[in-house]
Amino acid sequence: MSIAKGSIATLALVALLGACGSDGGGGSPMIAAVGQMAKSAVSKERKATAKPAKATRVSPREKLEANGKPILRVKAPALGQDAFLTIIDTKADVVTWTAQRQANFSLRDGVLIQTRGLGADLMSAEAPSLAQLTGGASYQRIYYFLGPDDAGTRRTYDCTAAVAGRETIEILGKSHAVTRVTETCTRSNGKVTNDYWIEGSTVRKSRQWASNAVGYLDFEKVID
Amino acid sequence: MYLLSRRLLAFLAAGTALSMAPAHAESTGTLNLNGATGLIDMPSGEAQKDATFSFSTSVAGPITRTTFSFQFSERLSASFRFQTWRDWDAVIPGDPKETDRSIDLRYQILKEGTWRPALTIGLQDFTGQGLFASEYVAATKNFGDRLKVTAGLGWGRLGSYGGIGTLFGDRPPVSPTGTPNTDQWFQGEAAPFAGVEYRISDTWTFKGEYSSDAYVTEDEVRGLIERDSPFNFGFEYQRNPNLRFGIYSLYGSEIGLSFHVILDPKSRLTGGIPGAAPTPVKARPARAADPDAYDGGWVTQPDAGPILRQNLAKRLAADGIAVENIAYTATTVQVRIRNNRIDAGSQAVGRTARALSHVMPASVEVFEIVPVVNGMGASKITIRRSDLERLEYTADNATLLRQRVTVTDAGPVPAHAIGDEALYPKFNWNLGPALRLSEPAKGDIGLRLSANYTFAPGFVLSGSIYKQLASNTSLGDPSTSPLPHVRTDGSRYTEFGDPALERLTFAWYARPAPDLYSRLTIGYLERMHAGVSGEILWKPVDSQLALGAELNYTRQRDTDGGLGFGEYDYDVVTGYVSAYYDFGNGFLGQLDVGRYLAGDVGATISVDRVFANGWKVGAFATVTDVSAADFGKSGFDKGIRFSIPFNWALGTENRRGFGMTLRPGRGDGGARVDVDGRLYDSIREYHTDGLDPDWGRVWR
Repeated sequence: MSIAKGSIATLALVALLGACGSDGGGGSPMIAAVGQMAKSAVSKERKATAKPAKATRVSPREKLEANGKPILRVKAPALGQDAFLTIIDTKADVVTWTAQRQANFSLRDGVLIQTRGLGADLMSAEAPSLAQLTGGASYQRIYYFLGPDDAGTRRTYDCTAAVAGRETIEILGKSHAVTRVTETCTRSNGKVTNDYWIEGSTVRKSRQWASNAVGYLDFEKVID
Repeated sequence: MYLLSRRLLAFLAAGTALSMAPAHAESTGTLNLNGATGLIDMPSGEAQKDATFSFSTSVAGPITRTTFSFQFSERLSASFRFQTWRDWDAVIPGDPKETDRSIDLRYQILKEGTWRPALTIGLQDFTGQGLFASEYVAATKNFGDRLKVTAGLGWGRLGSYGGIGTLFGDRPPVSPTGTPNTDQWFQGEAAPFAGVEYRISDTWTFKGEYSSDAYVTEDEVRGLIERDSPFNFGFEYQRNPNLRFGIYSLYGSEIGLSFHVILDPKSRLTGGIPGAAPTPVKARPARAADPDAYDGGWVTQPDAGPILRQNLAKRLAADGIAVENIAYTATTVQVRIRNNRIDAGSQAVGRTARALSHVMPASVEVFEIVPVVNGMGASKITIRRSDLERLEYTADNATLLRQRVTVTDAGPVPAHAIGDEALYPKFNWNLGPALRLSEPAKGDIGLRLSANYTFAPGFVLSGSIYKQLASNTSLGDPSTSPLPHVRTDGSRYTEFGDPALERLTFAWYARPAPDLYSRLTIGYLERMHAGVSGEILWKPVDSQLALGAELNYTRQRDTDGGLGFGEYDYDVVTGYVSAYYDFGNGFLGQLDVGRYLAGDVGATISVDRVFANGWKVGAFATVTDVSAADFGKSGFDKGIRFSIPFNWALGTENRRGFGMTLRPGRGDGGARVDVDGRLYDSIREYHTDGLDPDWGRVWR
């Protein structure tokens, strides 16, 4: 009641937005952080998981493999998103994966360095190399964001990578023998822990922090 | 229908974001019934978080207060308030309702330390007729993270109960109204007040206070309330950073309610920056591996230009960016763009640069991007393609790229630029609901049809018609202003002009010389005045200072919203010289000196705090040779203004917004013709002071 009463300005915003004209509005409101990431990718997944239930006997993996393209799965628990990503760009050791060109994720040898289209994006990062992670190195890690009022901000952490041991993990019906590496990063008022499950020179699975609002992202390299 | 439901969804999404945003960790002051930082009816020594913008409504017995407050800087805040007293005629015959408007200023002298309390000095209702006028000093100290104790000393209204004597001399009556009541400040009886605030849980707070306000007007003079006790207490509830509710027992006899909307302009309600991910930069093959790709021979192909222009336009259309024209050599390309949607200039530049990396042959190394506003090139941003390629995935790429980018004057359109015959003339129209608020909860809702026809870049015919659908405004008492009624007949224009032709103008924008911008507007400039308006602005792209001059000749229009001039027979030449200065950190100052609409001569000073995301909150004051008595109750023209971009609240990617100007009273002095397309605001976004605060968005 009182919300409706008080938010005259908000109502005004809504009232003013409901217009028509030759410019055709100007962008969908649902390009908001949450909605966008992978509507279609989610429905893709739904198809993938729903099909077997209809006794077509095509496993989700077979269906993805049939595309003949590398697939990276990303889950963003804080955004309530789950999507299969395809490659949009490769430059040297950096691969950029996309969810239908709405959200992009750039990883250098499997280590997250940028996100785009998530709203609170990781704009760039000084991140460890795969060798540093598997070698148990200590280093400094810097995350760059757009902070309050879109001004560039950074967070610097002191990090240590440590091999936690050998494990066998399963990704979409296929098992992988991996080495688990845990990266522990601290600064005076915060801590970030990233986990990597590494198979040979491939980060098969990882859980990497992106930003305050996005939180941790879970990646699984489904198809190489 | 589809549009409507999409808007609704966006609104719901914004609402969800509102309730899901994380709670503030740091302790800041809470708001009182006056919408200022404080206890229940009393102020405190604390401040709000820097840049906090709040909208408060409170009911205390027969008094309703609606307040906008803004924390201009860490220490300075201002409030603008509408007060309404019901049953005003309970004892003394007259209007059943009294309304008043007031402006407050507060300054935090000391921030809280380990032993030291926060200390604030404040002026309440310091320019009005004095119904709320008071001055105070208040100190607040936190004990642990739950308890706050406040004590203070008040003068004026806040010194009216339990006084301890006159410290600095007797308090004279308010005279004249509307000007700062400097001779009253800290004069007369002083009285102490005190209170506590105790945080019971994360959401509930208890407040209790001893008030030094005797409510003389409301109790003794007007008989509106019974003030039985100096003690007030109550509870407040706040579950998220944006909404706070309070319920109180006031003065032993009344119930009080408060409701606050608390906004942080620096953080979008929807979290982050809206919009889809960009297409990555396209890398060129290594020169050694494919030297042929770098051959510049393609420039001789006759159809290269139109094809490149078309490919670029196609890519940029996805971002709402239109390509005016491109000009190129084998090594350099200049593209002139119109950014119709993205709210940050830097992001539009970044999207354009990436699109160029896909479209232009490898031999082109230099990208010159010229954003065009109203046909005027606003600036030229020059980016080396190899920097773009090399820095895309580098840590801190925004800072590194900025060091390598130059921003210069746009310069003239290159002679060999390739445009598109189909671009001009260009016709746009829009029909939509519109809201005209004269103050919170007072105004009308209607339909506005607007259209513009651009003959060529910089030559625009535009107009708008407004039709009321519902209104709660009234004609009111006729203006008694002794000056020409250039503004005080506003309600007549509202009531008689329905539908009304608001504007119908032909405007010509141009770049007469480097660093110079010009505008000439002819026609029905605004709903009350028509004529000719010319403006020239000097603003180098990297200058904090800009200078401008404006000259207008206008006649006052009829109130029926038509084309005539029979009603007033009033014409006037007005003009100003203006200085604009960017003080940094988003603080913009402006000084205008000249002749105003009523023929009065004077100056306007204004200060705005602008945020990179488009929020703008400011205050202005105009003093002219019109006497305070001739101006009316509010003495001289002053007020606050704000604008909120839609994308901040709703997560839509567009450049429109909602704005409002609030004045304690409207007189005919210090009024300016309200013409569209003033130059400084149009082009500043693409100058360094507009691009740099959110330059990081170049990679967004």
